Amino acid sequence: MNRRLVTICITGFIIAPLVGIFPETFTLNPRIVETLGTTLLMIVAVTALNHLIGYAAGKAIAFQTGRFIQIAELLISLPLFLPVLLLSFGLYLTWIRLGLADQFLGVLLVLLLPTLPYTVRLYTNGFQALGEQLLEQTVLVEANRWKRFFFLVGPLLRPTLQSVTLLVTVITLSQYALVVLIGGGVVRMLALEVFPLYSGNAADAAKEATIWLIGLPLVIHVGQVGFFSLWIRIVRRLLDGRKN
Amino acid sequence: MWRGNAFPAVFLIAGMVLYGLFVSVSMTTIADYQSLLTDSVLIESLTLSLYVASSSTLLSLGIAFGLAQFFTQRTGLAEQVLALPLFIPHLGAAYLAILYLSNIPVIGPHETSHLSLILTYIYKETPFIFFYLLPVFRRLDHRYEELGQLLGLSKIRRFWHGKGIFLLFPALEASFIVFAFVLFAYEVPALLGVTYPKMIGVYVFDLYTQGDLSQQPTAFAISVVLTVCLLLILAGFTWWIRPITERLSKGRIE
Amino acid sequence: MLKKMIGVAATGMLLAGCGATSDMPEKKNVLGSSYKMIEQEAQKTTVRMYMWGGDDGINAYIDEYVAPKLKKEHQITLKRVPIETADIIQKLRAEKTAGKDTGVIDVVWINGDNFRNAKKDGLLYGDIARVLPNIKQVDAAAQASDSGTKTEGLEAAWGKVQFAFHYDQASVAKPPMDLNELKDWVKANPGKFTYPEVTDFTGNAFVRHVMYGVESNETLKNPKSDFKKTWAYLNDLKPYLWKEGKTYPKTLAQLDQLYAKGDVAFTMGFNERRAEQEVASGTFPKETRPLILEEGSIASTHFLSVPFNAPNPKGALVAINELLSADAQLKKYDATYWGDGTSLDLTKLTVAQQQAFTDVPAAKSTPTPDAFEGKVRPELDPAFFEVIRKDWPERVAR
Repeated sequence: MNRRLVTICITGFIIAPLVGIFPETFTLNPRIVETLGTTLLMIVAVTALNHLIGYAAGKAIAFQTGRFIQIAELLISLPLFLPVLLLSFGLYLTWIRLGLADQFLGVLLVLLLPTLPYTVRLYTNGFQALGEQLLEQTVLVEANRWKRFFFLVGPLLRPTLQSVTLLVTVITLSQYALVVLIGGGVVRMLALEVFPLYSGNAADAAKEATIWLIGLPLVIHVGQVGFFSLWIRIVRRLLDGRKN
Repeated sequence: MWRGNAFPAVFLIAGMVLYGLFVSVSMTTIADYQSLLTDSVLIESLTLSLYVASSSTLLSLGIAFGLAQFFTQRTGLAEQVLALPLFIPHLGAAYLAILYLSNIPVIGPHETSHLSLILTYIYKETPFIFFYLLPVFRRLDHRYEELGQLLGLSKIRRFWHGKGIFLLFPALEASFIVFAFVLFAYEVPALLGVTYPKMIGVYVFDLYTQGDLSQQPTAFAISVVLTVCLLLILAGFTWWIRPITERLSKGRIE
Repeated sequence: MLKKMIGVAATGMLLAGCGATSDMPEKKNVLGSSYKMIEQEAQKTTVRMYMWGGDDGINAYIDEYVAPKLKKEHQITLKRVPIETADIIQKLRAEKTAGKDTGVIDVVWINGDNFRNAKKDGLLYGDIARVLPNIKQVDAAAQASDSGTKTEGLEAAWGKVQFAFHYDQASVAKPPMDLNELKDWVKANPGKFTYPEVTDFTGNAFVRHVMYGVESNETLKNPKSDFKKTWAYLNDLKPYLWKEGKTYPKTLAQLDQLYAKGDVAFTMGFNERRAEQEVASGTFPKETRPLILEEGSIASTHFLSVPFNAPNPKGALVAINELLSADAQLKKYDATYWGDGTSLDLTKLTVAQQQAFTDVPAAKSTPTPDAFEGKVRPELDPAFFEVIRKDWPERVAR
């Protein structure tokens, strides 16, 4: 097969649909701008929790053995295969009782359902690729776990860390039904404005919303790529300093 | 503790899922489940959902499989481009379909074949499966296939013993994830689906929200039934297929 | 049904450990106090208004006219939350079940079966109408009942409209005058007509108009009858509809888009003036004209209400009162944003205010008052809404 041909086909199919989303006039919809604060805060919070919990769980699944961890892996992956939205009807009543409904925290917790299973899986794969031996050696080299993460494990896991952030961002942005149900219109996420626009009658506003929807993950990703480059540069410099 | 800790994740996820299930069950009576059996609208909705989910999954898997094989020993721009749909939330992808597919005459009138839904999912899920399988492809040891050639195995058997068994589980896993995702989706079919029948996620959400209370137990009953069915499939998947593939691939590595 | 309700309630108890609801003495205080007091205490508060958000013009009316007005005159911050009315009722129901005394919704836009369900389940605040000074200038008949359900002051009439079709004169030279002619026209022009699916407010109303046209008065008295003739009429149309009736626009907004693009030659909806703003902005064809069928046009009133657990009932009452003011109603009536029929009884306004309403020009897309003569039909019982939602998918769309 001709490599160039394949490249052109793929590029065509993937890029073509994106050409027409630019509206004739771009007018910074104030309602969308208002949702950006909550949306970004939610993305940061969901992503942070995903990294924290997913890192620990992924490592456990990659390196622990036994019955418990097998069951744990199965339980963690449940939301990948079950109708989360339908189950959240049941959850919602409880959230009201606990005072979590219509709250940022309530939405944050529920958003872990469609995101965390992917995160754990990515971390599991990442750790498996690193291998148990390598990780064992890092423990011998550096006893402090924070330093170990900063100098060794973090940079080595860079692809995993980046994928997690990207995937969690994209999934979080896509949730309309869950956010309406649990957030009750008070936790104003981007999807809350975008969804009615899509089924409404304002084409330009819908296009503008789509640009936000696609642009946010792109910007966040560019940001994290920069962040990691800086991280690795600092690590290099510090390590060079140690040697001398 | 350097071997990690799965407790927080298990506690949060299993807690929310099982509790949600428990509340849903407590909202229903046996009669609600009996009435599901004769609900022809539900059955048509399920049939459609299964059709859309399985065709989206199979087509995405096929394309992704081919691409992953093609890119195993090559890198380049195209691989980067394939990552692009991963940046697009499903909601945005649905809008792209509204924007283009509903206006194309070839596709427009045949919306009953649910093409716009399936195409949207192919656009989103092919890259997902591709990047799921690519590392597996790249880790494959080519000596197995060479060995097969030496032993004079047929092409199919060579593929199976050299690649197939290593790819089987990841491919099944990725497909199952995509399948379940499409099966229960709300946002995309709510925007793109046809009037009748509705995809199951939309149908149940409507039952839950539309009209008076009388439909609600049905919505809960459907969620319970679907959840239990998927749980059973998942259990079978974990305890039956996985040990087989693990045994096979381990036997070869060691 | 009762058993189920008990079941739901029991689960609620189980989940909370206890299900005691406070007596809410505050509620009586609010509805018992003078409007002056309420107005004073509502200053500098936030009011969340939950309403269907699928129409650009309506959204702009709230965001660009009402919100700044409330801010300026009462220092009230109005936040519009775009959510389907059925979802809102569902949310309130869940909150009621779980005993949440302080919710998040202050004002809700409601009518028809949603109101009936909300009233039945006790989801509304109380007799808010008697507290509102501006209720005096509201049309008494419109205020009294909502699709046959007595309002009992639980909601305040916000707008009063007639159902009307709109067509593009450029492509429909001789418009059909009744349902039979409409059927003939649709058959002669396949693909150029459709209606929204019945979960949509307007789509449901279209089917009710067909019911008025083809069913006997006897049948129309009982929502439990078999509406064979209605389904037969709709099935006759089906193969000649847009996309051969294999799918329908999900919302009125989508039908409007099809009409704007010229894919179909008709659109429809409650509010006979609704095309004015669309024509003016160049969205609808210039030659858009109104059409009232012989079988009649349903008169519909839409309302504003306050949920039982509104966090800021005082602010809600002030906002509703403002929305019923002559100024706000005039701005809603003219074609700037919305062009919605007023719920006010014009004879109760000052001469200058009356003049302002009569001075609003009627575009060619708006029917003259005599177009409705002898054709105004009352809204059917909300039970019909539910019947249509349940049966249409199986008997027509399938």
